[in-house]
Amino acid sequence: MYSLNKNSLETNITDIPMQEFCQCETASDYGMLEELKESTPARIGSGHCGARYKTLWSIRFQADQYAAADAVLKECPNDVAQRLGMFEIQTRCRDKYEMLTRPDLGRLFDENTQKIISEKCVHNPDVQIFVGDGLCSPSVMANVPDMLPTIKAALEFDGIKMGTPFFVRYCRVNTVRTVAEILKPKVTAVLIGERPGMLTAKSMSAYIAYNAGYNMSESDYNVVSNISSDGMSPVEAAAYIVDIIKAMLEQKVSGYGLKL
Amino acid sequence: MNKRKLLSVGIDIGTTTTQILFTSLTMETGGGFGCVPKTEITDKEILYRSPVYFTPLKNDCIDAEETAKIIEKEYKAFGITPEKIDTGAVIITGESARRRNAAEVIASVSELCGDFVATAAGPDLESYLAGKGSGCCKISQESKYRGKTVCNIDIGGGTSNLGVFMQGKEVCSACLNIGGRLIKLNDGKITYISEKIIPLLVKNGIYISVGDSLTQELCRKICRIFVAILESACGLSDTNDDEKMLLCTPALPLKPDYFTFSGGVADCMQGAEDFRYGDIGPFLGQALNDSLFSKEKRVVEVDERMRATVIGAGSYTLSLSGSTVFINNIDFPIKSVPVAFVDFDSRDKIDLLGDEVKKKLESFGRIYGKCAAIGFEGYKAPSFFEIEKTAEILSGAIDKNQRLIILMQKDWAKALGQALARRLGREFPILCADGINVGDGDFADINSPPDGTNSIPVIIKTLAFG
Repeated sequence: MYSLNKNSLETNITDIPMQEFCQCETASDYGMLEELKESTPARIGSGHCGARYKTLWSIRFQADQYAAADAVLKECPNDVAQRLGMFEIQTRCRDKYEMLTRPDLGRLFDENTQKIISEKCVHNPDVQIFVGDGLCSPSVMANVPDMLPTIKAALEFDGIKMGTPFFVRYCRVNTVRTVAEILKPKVTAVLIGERPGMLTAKSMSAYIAYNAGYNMSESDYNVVSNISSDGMSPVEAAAYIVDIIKAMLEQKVSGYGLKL
Repeated sequence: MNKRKLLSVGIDIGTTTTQILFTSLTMETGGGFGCVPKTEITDKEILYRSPVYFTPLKNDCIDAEETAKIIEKEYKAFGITPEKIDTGAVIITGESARRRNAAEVIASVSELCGDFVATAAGPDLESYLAGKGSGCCKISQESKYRGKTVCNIDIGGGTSNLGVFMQGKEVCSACLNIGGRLIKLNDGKITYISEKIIPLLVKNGIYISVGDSLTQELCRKICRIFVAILESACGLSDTNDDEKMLLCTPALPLKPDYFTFSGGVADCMQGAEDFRYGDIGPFLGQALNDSLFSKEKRVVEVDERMRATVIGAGSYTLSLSGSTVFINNIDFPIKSVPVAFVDFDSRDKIDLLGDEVKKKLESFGRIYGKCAAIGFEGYKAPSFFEIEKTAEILSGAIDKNQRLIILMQKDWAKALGQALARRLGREFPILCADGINVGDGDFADINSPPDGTNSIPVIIKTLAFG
């Protein structure tokens, strides 16, 4: 059990895996409790003080909740594109607030940005991959540095031509349609922060589509979600994404019609 | 949801009886939005149970030819040919596993059984299969027994296999030379005494030999000695010195809370005490009824007694890998490949990996004369760099003239497989699968993913012949 002591102030309690974070002092069988804790990252073994949570438990709860809320509201650092070795562009949203309130603007670029994309990127590649902050900005630096090289190495090995990757600030999933209309790749994929929750505030998804564009339907996407060190590990997810891309190029279809 | 049925066969060639069973296993591939499609075994249905045959013997060995005939007959009775069988296991259990011609028997029957039927034996596996097949494992998952250990005692002709389960997982196992056919009779005269028990009988002042007549009284006394040893082995009484004389594995490291009984002798717990089978089985069954197991009311009834092991062999030997695997240029099925397990469960051990793999593969090559699969645990969420490094090290340490098979636990087989293929080339045969628990020196039978699924069926066995 983790309890408060004088070192507690120096510990970030959200760093302790949930499976090891137990505050129950009244279990009739501790061996059993330990097994239950190991089996799930859910919040079990909270213990209680009267009708209430214990101090540490409720601090942890708040910390996780705010981490999730922060993940939505936080900006990606200014140098994120540089650190990923890409260039950065922005959707028509002027700030985070507008991105959250106007999903329609989060999928569009102004004329100047469209020109930049068109000039800086290879046109008609087999696969165009780009990265977006989406609704979970911490996920970008947590996952992309492992995912992108994995995808790139595997595609190169199979002789599949990959386009120029870039980073989109205030990005929504359907930015895929706009990017596809500009660069006309066979397959378009976005690695986008998504669904931060109490378990992880660094979760990423990949939305992938064959022949994407304004006329595609939502069911034409293939999705790999819950990519994080607590979910599907970034490298394995990337390896799986490569298989999906290869299947799309082979079958010339995506979404519901794709056989995996 | 994508469903597929597999036909599985279980064949148990025991000291006393031989049984065959056909099971239909349903594999289902499903997955929610954004998830990787996951394949699982969702249903097990027994289609056919053979009659219980006495195992044919010749010169105190299993008669390979006669056994093969029984199997052939039962395949005909069920109306199936070996090509139709997808999976399953033939196991030689009890005393017979130690008999000289086990390898010959396996060789003569395995051709009859189908392309992907594992051949295995060994006391640990038997305890596990009997516990699974009797229903003991399922009982341990009931809320009533939560946090308690339930021990299945499978008493056959030659051995008693103890398998302890908790929450549906096997915790430990043990095996004793106690069984219903350690003494055989004809017309009240002893025709056979297992040499395993002679020192024990002598120690207890019982001097009998082949040709003597065995009174019911004396038979009860012998069975009481056996049961006392079982009680002590299960922690119901103080440690009995005799226990050591009959143990053929290390003793159980714990005292189980509840017990289930399976096997032929458990089937004799109801019914009269007599020599109707020409052995001491019925007496041993009665002695169990009067034992501390019953008196302390710690016995739980199970659905399957007689057929526990064969059901285990038919339904519980197959496991499925994770759904993200890497397969390149591999010929299936792969049969009885030895697994060299290396200690690699954290990123700190990555630098030691190369030497260890090299050493292990060399020694396995010397022992088995064929290339072993590499097994390891892996760790959570490796980085791109770590995958590359692991692939670099592994591709440098292996024999480039052999195929490469990697069986690991943590979910990164596809990423590692792709990284290995980049180093070893497009033609190099590689199989990299995760979600598989293996131990050093285990053997694996591996088959291709059934149509419409992404997982590979794997049978892990602890001992293989030939």
